[in-house]
Amino acid sequence: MSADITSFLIFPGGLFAIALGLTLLSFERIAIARLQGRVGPVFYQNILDIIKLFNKEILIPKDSKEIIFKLSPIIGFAGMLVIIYFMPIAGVYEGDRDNGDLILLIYMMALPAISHILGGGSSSSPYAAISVSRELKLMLIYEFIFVIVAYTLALYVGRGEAVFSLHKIMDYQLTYGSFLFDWKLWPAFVAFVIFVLATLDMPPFEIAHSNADIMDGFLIEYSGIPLAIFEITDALKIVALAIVFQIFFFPMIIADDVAINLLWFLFKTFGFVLFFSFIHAVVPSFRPDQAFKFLLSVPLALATISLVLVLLSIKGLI
Amino acid sequence: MEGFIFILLLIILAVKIFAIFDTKSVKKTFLIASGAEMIYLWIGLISNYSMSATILHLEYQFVFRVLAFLLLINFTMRAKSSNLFDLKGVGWGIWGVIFGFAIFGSLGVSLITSKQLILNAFTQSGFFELGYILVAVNVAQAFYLITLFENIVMKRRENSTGCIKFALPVSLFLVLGILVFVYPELYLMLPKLIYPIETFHLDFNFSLYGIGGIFTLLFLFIMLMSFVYSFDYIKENKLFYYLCLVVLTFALVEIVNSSKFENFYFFWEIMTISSYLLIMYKRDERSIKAAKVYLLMCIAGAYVLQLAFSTYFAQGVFSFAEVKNINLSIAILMLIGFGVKAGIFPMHSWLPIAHPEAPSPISAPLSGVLTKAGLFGIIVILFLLRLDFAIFSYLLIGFGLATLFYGEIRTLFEKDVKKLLAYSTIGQIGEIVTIFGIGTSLALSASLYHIINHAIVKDLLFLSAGVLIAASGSRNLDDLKGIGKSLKVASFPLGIGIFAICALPPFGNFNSKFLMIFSAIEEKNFFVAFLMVTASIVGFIAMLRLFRYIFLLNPANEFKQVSRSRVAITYILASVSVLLGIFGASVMGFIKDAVIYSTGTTFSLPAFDLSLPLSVMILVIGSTIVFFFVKTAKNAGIIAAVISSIALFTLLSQKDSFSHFFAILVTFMAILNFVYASKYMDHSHKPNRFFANFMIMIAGILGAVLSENIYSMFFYWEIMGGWALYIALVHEEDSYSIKEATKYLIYNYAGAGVLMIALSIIGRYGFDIGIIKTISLTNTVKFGILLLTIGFLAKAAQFPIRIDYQMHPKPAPTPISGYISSVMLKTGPFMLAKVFFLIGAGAVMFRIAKIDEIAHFAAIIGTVTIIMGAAFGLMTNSMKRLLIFLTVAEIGYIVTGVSLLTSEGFAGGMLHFVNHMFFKDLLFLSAGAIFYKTGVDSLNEIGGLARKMPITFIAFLVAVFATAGVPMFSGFVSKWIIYHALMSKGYIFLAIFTLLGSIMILLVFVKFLHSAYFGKLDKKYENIQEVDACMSIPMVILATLSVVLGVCPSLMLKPINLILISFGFEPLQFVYSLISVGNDTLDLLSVSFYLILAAVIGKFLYLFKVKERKTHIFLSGVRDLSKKELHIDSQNFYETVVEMIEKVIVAIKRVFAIKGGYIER
Repeated sequence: MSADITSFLIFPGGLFAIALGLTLLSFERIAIARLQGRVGPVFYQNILDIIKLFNKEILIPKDSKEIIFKLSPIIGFAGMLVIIYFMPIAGVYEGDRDNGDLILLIYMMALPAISHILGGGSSSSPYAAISVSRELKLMLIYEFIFVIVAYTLALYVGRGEAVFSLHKIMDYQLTYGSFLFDWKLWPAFVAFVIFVLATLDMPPFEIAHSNADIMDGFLIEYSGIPLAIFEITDALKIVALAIVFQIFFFPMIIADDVAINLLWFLFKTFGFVLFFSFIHAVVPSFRPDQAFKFLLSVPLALATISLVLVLLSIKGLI
Repeated sequence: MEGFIFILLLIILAVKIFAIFDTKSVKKTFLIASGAEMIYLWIGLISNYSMSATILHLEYQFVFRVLAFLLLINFTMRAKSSNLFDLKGVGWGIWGVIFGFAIFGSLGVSLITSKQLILNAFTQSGFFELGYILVAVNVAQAFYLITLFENIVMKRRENSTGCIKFALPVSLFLVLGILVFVYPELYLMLPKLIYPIETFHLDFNFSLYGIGGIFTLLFLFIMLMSFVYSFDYIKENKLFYYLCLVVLTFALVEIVNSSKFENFYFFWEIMTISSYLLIMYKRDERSIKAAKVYLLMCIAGAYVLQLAFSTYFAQGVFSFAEVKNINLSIAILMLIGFGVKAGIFPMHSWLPIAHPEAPSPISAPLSGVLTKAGLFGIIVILFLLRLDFAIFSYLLIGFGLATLFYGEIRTLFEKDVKKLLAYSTIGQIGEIVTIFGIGTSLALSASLYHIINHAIVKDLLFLSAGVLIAASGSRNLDDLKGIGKSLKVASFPLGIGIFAICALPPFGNFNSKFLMIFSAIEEKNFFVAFLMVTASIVGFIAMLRLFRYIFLLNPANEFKQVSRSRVAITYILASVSVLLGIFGASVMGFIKDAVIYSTGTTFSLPAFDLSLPLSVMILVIGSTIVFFFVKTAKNAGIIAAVISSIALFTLLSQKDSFSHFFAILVTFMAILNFVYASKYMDHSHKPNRFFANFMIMIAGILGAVLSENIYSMFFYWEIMGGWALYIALVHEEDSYSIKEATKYLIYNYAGAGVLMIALSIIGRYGFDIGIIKTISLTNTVKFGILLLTIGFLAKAAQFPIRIDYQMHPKPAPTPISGYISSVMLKTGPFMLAKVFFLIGAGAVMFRIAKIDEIAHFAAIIGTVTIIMGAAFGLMTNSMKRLLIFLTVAEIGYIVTGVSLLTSEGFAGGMLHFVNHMFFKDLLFLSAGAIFYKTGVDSLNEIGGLARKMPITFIAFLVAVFATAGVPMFSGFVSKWIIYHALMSKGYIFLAIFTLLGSIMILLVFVKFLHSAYFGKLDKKYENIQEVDACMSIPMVILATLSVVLGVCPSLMLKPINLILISFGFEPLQFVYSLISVGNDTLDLLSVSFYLILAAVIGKFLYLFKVKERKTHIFLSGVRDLSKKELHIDSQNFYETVVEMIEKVIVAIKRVFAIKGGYIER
């Protein structure tokens, strides 16, 4: 399926992605609940939440810069909506050929963080300010890790000539087998997993909008529609990350049929979320400084190991 | 025989020395000392020649000494004492003149110099070494005689009248004495009986041709200036003063026009004596002492010269023209003799002693002219006598460099302004002597040019300092502090002199210094070139110190008004210096002709063609208009903007090229900054000075960019980073801005020094910039290119080329900071790109491969700078410094891009170049707006301004997005291209780190954003208003441009592609908004379309809103916190990150054995 305005608005971007994302969020909540011995909400709980938020009044702090406060959620929302439209889904959707670019992806993935920063910052709440500062500190490292992982793949695919096209990365794996099964990229995969945890603010990196000490951080002053948009952005981000994961490591398809591939895609996506729900449920959270140090050491080292391995393999040494 | 004479001479020496110490009985001692002369008769036994010489000597001595003795008797009677100290000043007057005549006669000033003859006799008989003793004897005697002279005649004494006795014998011997000069045959009658000594008459030559002609003109001009300056300076003893001055002038002119040794020596002595008298003009103890040192040193030098000449006389050679070969030891003797006059270290000591004591109109020619006479002597040895010894060359270079460093370093610490200038003279002389050592005709021309320039400028400095000294009554810098602020008109030329002596354009010294370095490089003498550049940096620091004292510090004293005619002279000299600089090519042509005329060898000089683009002229004229006729900042800013618009218009009407592309941007940014500054500077002092210098700086940038000639490029380059910038930077004139601006300028100067060497290396192949296209890339040329790269990187403030990471001064007014950051620093990468791509013109692979290592080095430095700048940005809490750090970082992207030597790299770098120009200026302007309204620079002290200053805030936000590279804003595209270019070149780690740098930059900006615009507004800023149109319109324009270029980069990529094609490279592929680099594509229009569409959808969601309400923020029930307490200060924003960076800095510093971490200055 090629890219056009309907794929942006309805499928696989737009409405489909939002619905999928919200379902995934609910699914995550259910999975965590089950792992913790609770029942958990219904699978459409997050959709209900959104509808509820739309019916709430919007509270705006007196000292805030109102226009930024209201508009900043849109930045992340727009970014996610667009990047999902740009990215290909193996066997289902070929994405925007002109803009399926790694660097664009890296920058777009940072947009939700920017909207958190602007929104939180403009709300004039000290809690939000703390959360912004924490988010940025982590972002410095996790984006760096993401960059290294992405570049590693780009180099591997191009055999030394960097290939930044998401399609080419995907096509390469469809031909030569998924990177998930290539031992040289296993460290990169672990680093990627840690990146996803950090960028989604999941334990052990539930720091920027930790409920315990800063009361949801940058979201603290948000209510009503802007909060709903943030929720939707989160939902889209999970979908986007699931797609990125599949492009990077696991684009394998099982048939030529679009419908089957779509189901396979959904299966992989739910598996991806289930995996992270499991981590979410079992690990506690770091302190901000611990998290920073951890990110700086373990995943960075892993990503670099993969990069070195890839470079060596390009030179024909392994 | 030799031993016998040796002992005799020792006896004479002993007697002379005895005479020096015996002051009690003047008459007796004089008789004894004179009696010792009789011993010379024994020397006559050597040969007939020596006998006749001795007889002549005794005749002379008899006449002069009897005359002196008669007067001495008179004086002792008048003073009623024969103790020397009681005779103080007794002889002042006409009798003193006669006494002086007698004394100097006895010293050996005569037409047929008998001492010379004795020396000749020694040499002829093979006793050359004995000459040294004779020199010692002569010096001891000179010491004794002038002690008498200065005590009796020059020292001050009240009521010294009285009639003279023995008038008849005195006049008789006076006539006899005069006959020595007028009719020497009379005295030759007796000696001729023994040996035929030839008679000799003075020749008076005057010629304006050749090297001598240059010196003649120079001497006449400088002396004329001194004359005119003296008119209202000299109040007493006018006859004495002007007589000496005329004699001095005459002697000087004749020295350079003499061809015979005798002639030369005679005038040499006259010059020494007349200047000696002039130094003593004040007749106080100190000046007499100084003059004595001067005379003794110079006369000792003269005696050594005599000794050297004796070898020629012995061979029967009587004039310079006849000399066929020159012996090394003789040459060294002559070097000593001339070197004393020239002030070569370690024979320089008279300079700092004599200069301060002499009246200003005399100090000026002492430095400007007399030292040059010494240099003329060295020219004679080296070039006219065609001395060709490598060792002599090394000797000159060694002495020259020692002199240079000694002079410049002493200048650095001197507080007496005249001494300071004297030391500076020593330094300059050192430079010239060093270049003499290079020994080519080119070097000679360079040094001649420098001699001219230095004479003019040093004259200017001394005369101008004289004016100020007269106004303040002190020579001490502490008393002269701030005189430039009180007496603007009078001190202005001193400022010109200071920058001229530092060899900054548009003054002549710049040309000559460049030519000197060029001549050193021409002979591949990098050692000399580098040391000269180093020393000139020291000298530059010293001169900046002088400038600071005179112009920047606040005056502590009251100053008197000074006479106009004196000031007028300094203005004349200043304008001459400018003319010498601007018409460098014609001056050099003149010098070249002179050198060819004198030496007979043909050679060619580099083409120093100064191009004067119309736009530059417009700006220069505009700046003078602004400087002289405009009073308020508003008018100045608007006029400057209008003039820049005219300049822009002239640029638009010309053809497209890389240079014009940049030039148009330069002027465009200038207009915006001027408009902004017209409001920003409204509370500041001296707006005319600020704007005029700002405009000159921009003219410099334009000139450097538009020049097609290496010389011309460098000329404007130095204008851009020279005095104009300095004066604009120290605008606030507080100690902080002075310190920072000085530091900045010194680094600039050092960078320019490196460039000077590099350009000289390239210049050997031709001075047209296009030569780089075809230049053969030998190792030397590659070295030159490496130096060029370093110089340009230094301009672009890239770490670690810049030792100090604070590349441009924070305390400067914001509009100029913004302009420096956004435009001026770009000249570095601009020139870098130009050089790299000219070398690789036509994408010739093997040429590119040859400089690939240099380019890789530049790229690595660029990347290190990105990380470094961003890291420091995270550390700092000052608004402006933060922006400065990020400027460096962003320029790192440009450097990295253009250093890839690929089309993509160039396109990315250049696109970022333009983008950065807009968004960085925007950042500075918005920071300036905050500063203008709050007066606070620290991010810790502000907050919540977004609501008060919405336009500034939005502009800032756009700039932040552009800098951080948010898609749809300009920085994204250029960085995207750069990353791709880096990866396709294979610089993987650079690619990763450039991206890391990008994230860090985002972090830095969030800190800024949060601290300044978000959070709680402090009470004291409750009444802040948005800035007015003058300041907001430039911001809005820049913000718009940042967005437009973010969406449609093709607007800018089109001209960039034209440039690429003009360099013979493949253009970047793009169709409308679809850019493709290698196999990867980016369609910004569609990205923007979908982003906007998504944003509209997001905004659309707000239509469903039920209700909106304002509330307080949630604070967990705490109500008693002040707004300040609720605000997170910028310093606490990134604790963990900052800690880590601090650790890294400490570790890196430890590698270089420095303790401590990041220092916030």
